[in-house]
Amino acid sequence: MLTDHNIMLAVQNGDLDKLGMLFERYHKQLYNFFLKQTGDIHASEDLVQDVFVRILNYRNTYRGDSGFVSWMFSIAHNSRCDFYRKQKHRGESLELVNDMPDAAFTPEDQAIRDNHNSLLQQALLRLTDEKRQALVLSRYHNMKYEEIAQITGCRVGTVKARVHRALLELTHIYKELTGESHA
Amino acid sequence: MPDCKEYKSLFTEYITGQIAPQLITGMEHHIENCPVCRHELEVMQAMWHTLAQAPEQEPTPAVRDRFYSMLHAEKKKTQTQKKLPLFRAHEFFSMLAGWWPRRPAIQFAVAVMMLLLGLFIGRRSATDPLNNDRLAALQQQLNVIQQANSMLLLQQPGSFERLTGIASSTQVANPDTDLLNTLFTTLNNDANVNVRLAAVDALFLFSSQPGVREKLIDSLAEQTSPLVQIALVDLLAQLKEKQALEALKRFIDTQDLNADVKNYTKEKVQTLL
Repeated sequence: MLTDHNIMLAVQNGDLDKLGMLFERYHKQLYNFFLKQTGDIHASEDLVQDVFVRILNYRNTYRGDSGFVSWMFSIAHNSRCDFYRKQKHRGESLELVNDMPDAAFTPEDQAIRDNHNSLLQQALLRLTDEKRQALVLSRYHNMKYEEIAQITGCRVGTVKARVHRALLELTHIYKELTGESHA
Repeated sequence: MPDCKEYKSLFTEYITGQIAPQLITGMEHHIENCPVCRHELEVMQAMWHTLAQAPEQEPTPAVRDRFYSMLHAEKKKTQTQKKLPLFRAHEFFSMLAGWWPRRPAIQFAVAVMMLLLGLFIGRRSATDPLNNDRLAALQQQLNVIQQANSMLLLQQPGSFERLTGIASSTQVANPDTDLLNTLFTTLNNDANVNVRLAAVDALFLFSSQPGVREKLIDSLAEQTSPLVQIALVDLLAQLKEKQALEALKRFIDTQDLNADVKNYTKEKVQTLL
């Protein structure tokens, strides 16, 4: 099987069709990365598209020093930052997005479980961007703290502290949302 | 003997299995004997497991459609560029890259030889009574070589080479889109802050080229280093146009913006009003 690195080198050399292989491998992972960050299906799909457009535009800057996945998530990190910036310019807030009904969490036969997932998503959205991103990369994408530090441009110690604080705060928020804190 | 604070700083590594093996025994011993730390670790572990229960979601099929449409359009664009018989930029750069020597001393020697060649051609042309067309053609060729040389240097791993590439790009008379895009990629993504600063200066020279101002404005939001932010603020202020002024006003409201950069931008905006 072709490695991500070799596929990306082929894309660099003009075999643009090969990018389809990377899309098939990673678009779902990226979609879930953005969905956890924004809670918004449409924005997450737009952001996935944005990442692949940037991969194509910046393909000549890929060097593969830290692997394709890290490079891709660095681009995803930048796309996400731009998304928040644009949202702020438009005066929107994540809480508004969060109040929207989310089709991804509503099959009837799994109502209770979906309710928990929905509450978990809401709890995640109440964390700061930085803490949420560090936690999502660590929990859902099995990234090492060194990789997260590289992607987000901060120190390893900061990433660890963010994940630590995120888990504690999330517990508190989640309990508040599920009503457990008053039980 | 480490204290609670030190053990707590290892909790996330412990939960995610990234902790150094030699620290595990000490950590577990401490957890057994410290109820406060034990409680905090249990809370964190419980949430870590709760998070795992969230299932992966499927995007709609539209994501795939949009991606392949975009890819198709890009391929078409690339093919059209390849068909142009005049000058295949990427092939030319790859060819130059193959020739470019690795040792700085030889690179310097090549540069000196090119200079001498230029002088020789210049002198010959000056005495050549033929016509100005040949001179113009030579100038154009030199311009193309200068562009290719700049692009090549800008893509080198060493920051010194990239700085040299930026300096070289400033000598190019009408830079093409490829060179401008490479300069913007450098400005937005280069790991070295000095290289990014040099890119700001170079792009200022090209700010009258179509699309450059807009991209400079966009770039302000991309920057994280206060030094580069200030350099871009200066540049946009010097453009003295409405769009740039609006961008600066918006920039002041950026969340977590360095206080010095914020104050500096405010002062600049005041002088423009």
